[in-house]
Amino acid sequence: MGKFARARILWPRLICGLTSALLLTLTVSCAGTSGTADTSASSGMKSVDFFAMNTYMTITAYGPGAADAVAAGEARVYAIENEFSRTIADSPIKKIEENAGISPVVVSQEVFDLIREAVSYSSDTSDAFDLSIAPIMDLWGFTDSNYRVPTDAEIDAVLPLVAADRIVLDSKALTVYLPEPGMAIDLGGIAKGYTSDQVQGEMQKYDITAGMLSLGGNVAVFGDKSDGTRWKVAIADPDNPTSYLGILTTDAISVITSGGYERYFEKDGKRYIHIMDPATGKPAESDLVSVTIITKDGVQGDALSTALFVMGREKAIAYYRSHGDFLFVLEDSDGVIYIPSALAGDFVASDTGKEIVTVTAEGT
Amino acid sequence: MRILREKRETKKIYTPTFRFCAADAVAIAGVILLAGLSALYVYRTFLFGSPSQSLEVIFTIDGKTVYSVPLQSNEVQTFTTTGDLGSITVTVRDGEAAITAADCPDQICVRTGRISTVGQAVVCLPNHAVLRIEPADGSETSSAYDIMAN
Amino acid sequence: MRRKTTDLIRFAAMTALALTLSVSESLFFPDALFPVPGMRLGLANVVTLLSIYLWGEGPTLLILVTRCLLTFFFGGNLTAFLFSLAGGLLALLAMTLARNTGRFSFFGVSTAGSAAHNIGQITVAALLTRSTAVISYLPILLAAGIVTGLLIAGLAIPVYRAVIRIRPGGDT
Repeated sequence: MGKFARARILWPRLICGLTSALLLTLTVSCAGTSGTADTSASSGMKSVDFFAMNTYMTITAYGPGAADAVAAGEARVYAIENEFSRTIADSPIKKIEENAGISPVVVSQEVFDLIREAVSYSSDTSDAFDLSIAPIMDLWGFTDSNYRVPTDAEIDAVLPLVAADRIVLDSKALTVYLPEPGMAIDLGGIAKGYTSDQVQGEMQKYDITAGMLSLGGNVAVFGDKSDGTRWKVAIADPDNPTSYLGILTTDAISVITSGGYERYFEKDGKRYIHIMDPATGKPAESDLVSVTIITKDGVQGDALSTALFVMGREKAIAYYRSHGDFLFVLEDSDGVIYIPSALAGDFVASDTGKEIVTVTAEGT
Repeated sequence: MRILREKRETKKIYTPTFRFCAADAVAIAGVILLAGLSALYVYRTFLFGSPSQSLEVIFTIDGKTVYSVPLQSNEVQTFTTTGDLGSITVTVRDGEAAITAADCPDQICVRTGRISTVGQAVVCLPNHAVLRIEPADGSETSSAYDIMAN
Repeated sequence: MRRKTTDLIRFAAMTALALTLSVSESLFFPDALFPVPGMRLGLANVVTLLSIYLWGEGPTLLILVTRCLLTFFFGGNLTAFLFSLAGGLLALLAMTLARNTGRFSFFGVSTAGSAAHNIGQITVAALLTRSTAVISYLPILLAAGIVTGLLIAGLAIPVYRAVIRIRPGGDT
């Protein structure tokens, strides 16, 4: 009997054996990936949206622990809001304001550290970002949406209260003191960035593969998408906020945009934007219409998106060249988009017809 | 010849033909038909109607859905709801939705403009109102981006 | 003894041919062309086609499995192994059935095999990715299968004639 002839007797058994082996391998490999490699929206994905910190937030998580992760993330938002809000009566920030010119206030390590970081961004950006801008915001009605245009005399009276360098910090006693009545701290300029970092940390305690947050348009993405592609973050077009300037392809990152288009009021045909210049006490007369900061550090992104907007194009690019630990997308009032050369491969502009200029890190 | 004979004893020997015959044409036609049918199934949404027909406009206040309507409709639809601060008017027309009037001081929602694709939203902060677009059947719809920074 | 050795040599030669075809295929048609890495057009089906006529489906199965295992051992890619095994088995089944009708020429049998091969691969891909999204490639792969099927038949005809000629008890 030849080899093949013998094989022919064997072959029904072989087929059965191999088919079961194949099925077994498939079952095992599928069971091993279930729940994590699932691309469907039905399982392993959870999204919540809610209003907090005077803005609209969405938190999304992917993976078996998605529901727990978004719940924990949302809870963390409320906890931070209670610590850092200027409008919540018992918050440490409100207490510091109430005791301005009276006495230092003891705060938690978390609050102290964030105030100290905000103060350092104020000095680092030559006060283009200023956490003590609150009295000016009140004057223009941006705090309670009762918008008005104050007189120059009113502004001059309040402007001395805007001085981050006058805030007295005692790291041993953990106290914060505002030396003059009327001074106030508003961490609104970095609180969302801080919250974003904190929420991510909270969510990653759970069994999730990826997540994304939008805290009032401050975006953070982290983890690996189930389809294996990189994250795509659109950057809003200031001329038409529902469409976008371009799409950024990225791994885990925070993307934070500031622009006058986000919030403003109009009076007698003139537009007054919500981003104040701490030097003048008036809406920043920037030659930029939109500043996006792309960074691992949400606090930095939040602070710099405001600061670089106030600085204007030239100073913003100079600041990038002297620091360089972040990336950006700027649009100026002529409709020209500026991006660093390091971003050129990952930013795809949409069909807005706007010119794109790449900026080198070294300068020209 | 011995192998051939041995095989003949146990099993029929098949002799191949090499000339393309009518049956081959039928086989190929069958595969083409199969490809066509599967293409028809796979691309049915592109062939038999625009995907936007399955999109839905959802309007919520404080997270509660006030109403949801199909985005695509032949007539202009206007809805007015009372929010925390007063009335909010939503208009849906030609596959686009917008908050067209709102009793709020900053009017950000009205200025945001019209939305037409999944993932876009118009938010009225003072009224805690959100107008957004979602796939009607809960299925995944491809979008050019995952999330938008603004 | 002599017959046994001849069989062994044939078996080895066919397996080597199949192995060569499947390896060279991955050189000419890289993974990038396919929706899921590891998918193949199935040029190694030439051997299946020849073998089911020369020796029947039993030995063909042996050659097929040996080929898949060897590529797996050399390449070490489990996904590719599953693709080639599922595609290969389904192609073998379809070709055997087509052959048994006695109506089709090499071209028809081969086309049926290629179509089945691609259906098998798509099925494995859908199971592996746990998503039905890959099914959208089915029409394209089926169309490609017609071309591959005809190509395979064209390749197999001269090889078949050559093999028949060297068979003991053939021309000699």
